[in-house]
Amino acid sequence: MEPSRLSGLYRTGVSVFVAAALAAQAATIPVTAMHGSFLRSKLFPILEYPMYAPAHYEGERVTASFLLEGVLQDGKIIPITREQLGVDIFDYVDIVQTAMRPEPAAAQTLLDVIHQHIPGADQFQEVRIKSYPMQVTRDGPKPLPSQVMKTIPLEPKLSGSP
Amino acid sequence: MIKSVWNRFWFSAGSYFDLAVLRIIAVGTQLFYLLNESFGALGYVYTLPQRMYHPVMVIRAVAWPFGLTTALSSQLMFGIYGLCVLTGVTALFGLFTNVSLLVFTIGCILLQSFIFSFEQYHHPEAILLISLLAISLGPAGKVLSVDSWLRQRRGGTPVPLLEYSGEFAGWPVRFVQCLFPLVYISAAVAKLAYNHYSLDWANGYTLQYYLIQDHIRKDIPLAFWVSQYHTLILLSQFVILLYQCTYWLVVPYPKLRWIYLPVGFAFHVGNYVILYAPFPQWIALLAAYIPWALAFRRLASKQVLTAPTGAG
Repeated sequence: MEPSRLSGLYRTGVSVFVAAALAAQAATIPVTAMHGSFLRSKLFPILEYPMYAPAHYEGERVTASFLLEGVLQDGKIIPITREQLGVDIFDYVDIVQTAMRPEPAAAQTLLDVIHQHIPGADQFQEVRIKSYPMQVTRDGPKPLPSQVMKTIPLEPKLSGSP
Repeated sequence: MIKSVWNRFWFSAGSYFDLAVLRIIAVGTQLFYLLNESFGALGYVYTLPQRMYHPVMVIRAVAWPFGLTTALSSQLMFGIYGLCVLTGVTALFGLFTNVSLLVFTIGCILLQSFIFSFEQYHHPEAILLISLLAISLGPAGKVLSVDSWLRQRRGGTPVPLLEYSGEFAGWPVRFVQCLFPLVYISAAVAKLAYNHYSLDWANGYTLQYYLIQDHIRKDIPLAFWVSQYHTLILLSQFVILLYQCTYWLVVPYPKLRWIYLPVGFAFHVGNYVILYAPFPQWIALLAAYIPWALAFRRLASKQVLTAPTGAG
């Protein structure tokens, strides 16, 4: 093939790539502008960039993380830490936030992880999700009492049962 | 008319040296990330429950013959990882440059897409991967590469390295220069759109909140300390918003890069130190705005005054 024809073909190919890639990235902007949540990472590496975007206000509780507790039949409370669950902080927050949704199966991933990593978790009567005890003020972080945000009832297995 | 403006913008002569420098910085950064982060991340996602696996489109396209409900096998993914490391090294040194770059980039996109198929995703990686795709389609191994060394052994006309240019050398660099503003506009639009098109985001408390949040999540004492300075944070939020809204001006007015680059560098380094939000890929890609060949040429021709004879 002649060099000039080859060069023309290359130029056309580059033009298509450049136009398509920049248009795809630009097309995410109206999605973000509509505050749509359907795209997120689905088309990775074409992404939206709503990093640290929601505004927060004075006195608001900082939902950076959550506290988890397992409650035994005798009322004894067992704290469950993120480190025990073996997940990183972002997955931990995602899993717990998903568990707080109203759908019946929403808590299943959290319960799977707890059963996988916490010895004796099959004896829990319930799992409690509590808010993180911190709020934002003009002078920085201030303590705020923790509250139970959701209680997930469980059916404890009888000891000796298979 | 449009065609001629388009061709002038994308295909006017560009420096092969600038493109090669961008290749080395981009591949070096991605390779470092691959060795430092991706191996651990790949091992970690296989410890997560299968129900967290929701393949993103790239993985769906590749994995549909194997089924979409179970994750691709670890042997396959670690095999791709090994191939990425190998081709990353050859792309860095410029051996079989374009093939190496293309395999490296596609492999890294597959790996990252697979990791992001387990619910959470992050923002630093994508822009570098798209940029690598553009670099891999350009003449990135024309200089500063093993390929060019081998080519020179076969003879040719000598050309000064820093003046060597071609019509296809500039477009990958300009592509990165255009991609960055789109990402910043997206970030700025989100800050307005997520808050009912108000300036509520820049109220001081928002960034205080995120500083406290990241202190709790990542145990960063500096974030905790900074979160106590409301007025300083309020001002920095306005600077961030202004920076992200107006960054696109560096494309039509390249001289503005000497304002935007230091601010961007400081912004991302600050994010890293204070929030532990590492965006090394973004810092590395700021190199696309630096005219390396011109800078080295000026440096090489710079005259200095010798000390007067007899002076101590």
